[in-house]
Amino acid sequence: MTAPPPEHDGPNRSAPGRVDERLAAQERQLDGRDIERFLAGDQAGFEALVRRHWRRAYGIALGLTGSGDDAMDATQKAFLRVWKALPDFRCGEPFFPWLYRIVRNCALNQRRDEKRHRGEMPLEWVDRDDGRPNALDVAERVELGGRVWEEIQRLPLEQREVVMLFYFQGLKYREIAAALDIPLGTVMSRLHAARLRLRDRLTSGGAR
Amino acid sequence: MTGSVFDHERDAAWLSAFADGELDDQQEAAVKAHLAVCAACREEMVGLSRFDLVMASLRLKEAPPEAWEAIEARLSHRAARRAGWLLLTAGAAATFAWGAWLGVAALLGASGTPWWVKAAILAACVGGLLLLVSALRERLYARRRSRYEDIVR
Ligand SMILES: [Zn+2]
Repeated sequence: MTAPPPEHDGPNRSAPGRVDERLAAQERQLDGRDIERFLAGDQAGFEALVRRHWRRAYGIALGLTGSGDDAMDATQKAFLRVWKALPDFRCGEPFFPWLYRIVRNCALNQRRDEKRHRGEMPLEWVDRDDGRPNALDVAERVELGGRVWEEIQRLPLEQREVVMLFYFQGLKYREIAAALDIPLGTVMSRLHAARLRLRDRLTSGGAR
Repeated sequence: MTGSVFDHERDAAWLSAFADGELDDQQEAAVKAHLAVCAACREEMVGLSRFDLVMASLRLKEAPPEAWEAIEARLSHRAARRAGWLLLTAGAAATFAWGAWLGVAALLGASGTPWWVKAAILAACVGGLLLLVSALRERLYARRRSRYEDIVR
């Protein structure tokens, strides 16, 4: 009987990109305040809300449309819808899941409208901050990054969404569950299935 | 929750969740106990963590500054356009009302206008007012509904 290798001795609780719990709570508070301001007639409340969320909205739209131009259009449309629909937002609820559904609708419509997402590579490499040397040279990085993005785009929508939210928006399982309105167990199984699929596709093509 | 014994078929996704620190204590204990005795799953974990190492080294590029400019421009255009329509409508309505009133006052004040024309003018005014109120009410109702149709929850 062998013990599991050290890197699997415990779960990785400080994975990079995870959103800090305290920051998330603070964000919810600010969202609530800005929505109330907007509903009281102060446009500045809406502007603050957009400023806080547009990058994330753009990232989500990018993951769903696969194209920077489409993502830009979808994000604009989404915030127009937010502006119109905000009077019906139930105050006290978290804003992000609600925003996610609007961005998602806009992005999926956009993707249906125009198929111009070929050949874009919206991912970039992060330099490791743990001092470990990077095993890949620049050309390999570009090639591998491109293939990762391509394979993510090939995933079925339900897996692609979970992958984008987990890896590139840094959301926890329960935050993903809230945004997609699905049970936690479903997040778990979709993410696992997507991982296996991506890993297999990337290894079968000769990548490390 | 399922029991504390790991089942390959049922609990395969626990391996991912374990690596992500997303299992509850009972599930986590079950995975640890299982990894201690199952070489296949240990190997699976190594493969997954190698894959995650690649994923953790990739991030979405920053949104380009023109994305923000486009969003801001579109939203402020929308707000400006709304204000424009509001002013135009209000101004046109006031001008029209003033013109109509001048005409009606001239007719009513003229000594040669027969009584039945004066009555007809009054009837037209009341009718117009009723139509306006009804149209406004309908418009308000439609707006309240269309907001819900806009969002697919
Ligand atoms: Zn096993």
